[in-house]
This record gives sequence, structure tokens and C-alpha cells, in this order.
Amino acid sequence: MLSTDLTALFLSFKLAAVTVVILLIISIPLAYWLSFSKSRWTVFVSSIVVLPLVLPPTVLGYYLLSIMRNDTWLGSLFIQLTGNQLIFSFSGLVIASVVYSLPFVVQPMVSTFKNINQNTINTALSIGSPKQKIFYSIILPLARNGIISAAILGFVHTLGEFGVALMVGGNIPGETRVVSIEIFNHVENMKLDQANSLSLILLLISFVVILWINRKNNYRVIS
Amino acid sequence: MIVKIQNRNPDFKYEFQTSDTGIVGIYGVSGSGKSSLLDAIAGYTDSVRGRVEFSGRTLFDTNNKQKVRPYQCGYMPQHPLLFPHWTIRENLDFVEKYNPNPKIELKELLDVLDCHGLLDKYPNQISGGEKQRIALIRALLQTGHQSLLLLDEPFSALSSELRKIALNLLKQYKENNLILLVTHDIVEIYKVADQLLLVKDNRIHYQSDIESAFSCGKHSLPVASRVKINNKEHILFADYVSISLEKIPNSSITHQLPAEIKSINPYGRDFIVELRTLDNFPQLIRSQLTEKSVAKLKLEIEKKVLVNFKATSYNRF
Repeated sequence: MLSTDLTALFLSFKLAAVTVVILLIISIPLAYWLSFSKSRWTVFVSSIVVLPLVLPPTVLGYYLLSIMRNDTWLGSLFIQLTGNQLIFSFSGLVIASVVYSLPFVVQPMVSTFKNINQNTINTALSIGSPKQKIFYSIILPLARNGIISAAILGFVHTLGEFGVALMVGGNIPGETRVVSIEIFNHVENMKLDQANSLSLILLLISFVVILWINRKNNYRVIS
Repeated sequence: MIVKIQNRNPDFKYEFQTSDTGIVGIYGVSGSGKSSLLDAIAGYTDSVRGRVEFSGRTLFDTNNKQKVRPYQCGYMPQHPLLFPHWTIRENLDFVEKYNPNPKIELKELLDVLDCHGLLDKYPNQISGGEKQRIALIRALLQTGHQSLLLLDEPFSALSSELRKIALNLLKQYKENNLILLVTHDIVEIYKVADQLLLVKDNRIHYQSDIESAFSCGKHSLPVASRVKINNKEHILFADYVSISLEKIPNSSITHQLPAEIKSINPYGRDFIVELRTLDNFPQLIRSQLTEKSVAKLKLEIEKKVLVNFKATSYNRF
């Protein structure tokens, strides 16, 4: 395995880890709101969250690129704050990954929260517990497995990201060249053995994770 | 307590008033709306409109923009839910944390309902009857002074021995608290309740104090009387009591008491004869007789007769 392959692998894992942390911070309250709120806005917000699932990655990447360009408010704000541009940078890649993987984390969390019996919450309210306490001491522990599964799905999905990464991050070694782009480069240069090893690593990681999630879901029924 | 609630379905409409202490037995056939009523009073049904007041507090009033939501009260639904990720001890600790002044302490409740051995188990490791006992303890822990206790079929999975214990436990709470007790066992209601609410088609069909309810012979309710035998109060249903004009020798009847007829009222095709015993401790006993028997014995008010019943007729209740 080449050192560039290892760099790409390390970068992908770093990207996936950072993305998942940000996704957890955003997704838990968002999924909770989508699951329990009676607001009519939930349908609208839910549709936006799901959009990356159906949009071609290049289209999503194009729009993200348009938003993060140096002459947009987001791009120029980022330059003002950090001195670096957002597009073709690791930070830009993180933002793009968060948007791209959001439905893969929010959707399983919503179904986990919705599986929690409403009477669990009602019972806690009847006992006299404040709402915030119910969230931390009852809802989160009951949804723990679903949240872990969602986070792992988001992690694996970010590892395999290609179209959006290429559009927003480009192909800068050590900065934005993630493992899927490295595989693409190997194929383009007819280095099929190296493409094969990297692909096999991604395949094995994905399979083991899906196997683990399926086993976990079979043994655990949240009531 | 004042309850004035309805929902979008015009069939669901409850309006009644009870005192703020004592036990109110709620009775009705399956599907009549007993559980929906308790759910609505507990604030679990957000489609409900109207108001519920208890002990000078408005629990919710949609007319004054006080939303229907669960509030702090001892509610034990028909299928009580224990938090599955906590042990029984942790479940009960959670209740104690928010209800620090129960009328009876946790340790004593665990003793009375024999639940000490369950504390370190998880809810999925205990039986339905055990869950019911823990849920009852949880509701009772929330009951201190001037509290509302809503119990929906709380004893359905308990043995007859534990039922007796639990019923006696309830009686200790009724002085300072209001207990709404839903049960399909009419005898339980007669044993402990002070008032009866008869529910039919999601409405209050009949409301009465308990003695009147079990003496009138209306609304298909059984007729019964309370009798003291050997200083212990028993329930005697009217269809277990017979009347004779003379002593019946060599029979299985264990109690033959002289009595005077106070009233004779029709009860469907039969009659309910109310009698006052003429022994040292006069008490009222009701007997259900066919029209044929009344005619045969030529029964009339103030006639002296003998009231007969077997020990098994009151021992079972």
C-alpha cells in the first residue's frame, strides 16, 4: 500500500469522525423535534433533511460549492474568521459531509424516537419529572442503541463519499483527497491492484458495520 | 372534583362532580369508556376539550388556554409502564425523588405487597402480577395528602389474597385523598367505594352513593346488604338470602334470624324484600324473591318472618 493510500485512508477516517461528532450534535435535537413536535413545519424540515438521499451527489456538490464560494457570505465569513478559503479545504469537506450524511443519521434516529411509547413520557410527567430530565434520563437511554446505529451509519457513509467530496474538496493530497477519490485516481491510472486493496478495505468495513447493526437491531426491541 | 370534558367525537362526553376525598368506583361493561375516562382525566388525551378541577386546583381548562397534558398525580393505567432500562429499585427511586412525602413509606409498601425480592430485577424479568404490584406501589408513593389517585383495573393480575391486602391498603388512603377506581369487579366497588359512577357509551349513565346504588336494584346492579356477623362486616347479596315463615330444621342453613319486612319493591321479574332483623343487633338485610314466592308466603310490610342464609353466602366476598 502506498503512503498516499494511507494518507487518504487516514484523511477519510478523520473526516468521518469529525462529521459524526457534528452530526450527533445536530441530529439528536433535530430528530427529537421531528419525532415529537406537532408543528406543521416538521413535514417541511423533514423533506429538506431527506433531500440529499435523492439528489445526485454532483447536484448537491454543485449547490454546496455555490454556497461556499469565496464570494458568498459563507465563504467570505470563513475567510475573515480563519484566513483560509472554505472550498477545496478540509473544513469545506466537513460541511459538505455533514449535509450529505444528515439523512442517514436523522432518519434512523427519528424512527428510534418514534418507537418509544408515548406513555413512557406521559408516565414520567405524571410522576412529576421535568421535561428536560425526561429527555436525559429516559428518552436518551432508551434510544441509545438507535443513536449508536445511526452514528455508525453516518460514519460509514462519510467514508465512502465521492461525488460531493470531489465537487467541494477537489483532489488535494493530504487535504481533501479521501479514499474514494484515491481509488478513482488508481483506476484512472490503471493501477488496479492498488484500487482493489483500498476498495476491499472499504467493503470489509462497510459489511462488518452493517452486520453489527443488523445483529444489534434483531436483539433489541425498544418498547 | 369537577370533570367536564368531551372530545371531537360527540359520543365522548363526561360531566360529573365528586367530593375531593374518598373512593369513587367506576364501573361499566368492557368498551364502555372507563379507561378512556381515566386517560382523559390524567391529561393523556390531548384531543380532549374541557376542564378538570380537583381540590381547588384547575388541572386543565382548555377554555382558558390551559393545555391538556399529563400532570403530577398517581395514575396507574390498565397496562402500567415501568421504565425498561431501570431496575425496580431505580424505577421507585425516581418516583420518590419527585414525591418526597408519601402517606405510607416505600419500605412499608414493599412489605405489605411482598415486593422486596423484586428490587434488583429489571421490568422484563418479572411477571405481570408483579409489575402490577410495583405500579400500584408507584402510584401510592405519589399519594400524600390531598392527592389524586387514578387506578385502572389495579388488581386484575393479583391473587385473591393480594387483592384483599391491596383493597385494605386503599382504604387507608381514602380519608385525605380522592381515588378513582376502575374495576370490572362490582364486589370490589361495594367493598371499598363511597360512590359509584356507572359508565356507558362514553358517558356517565348513573351516579350514586354506594349504599343507594346497591339497594335500588336499578341499572342491572346487584342488590346487596352489609351484615355484621361475629363483629366482622360481610357482604350479603340479595339472591343468596331466603325467607321462611317458620324455622327450617335439619337444613344446611347456618343463620336463621327473626326479621320484620320494611319494604317490598319490584326488581325486574322478581322482588327485593327489605327486612330489619329483630335480634339484639338490628340490621338491614335484603332478599331477592320471585313473584311466586312473595305470593306464596303472603309477604307484606311489617310481617314477621325468618331470614335464612348459609355461611358460604357471605364468606366468599
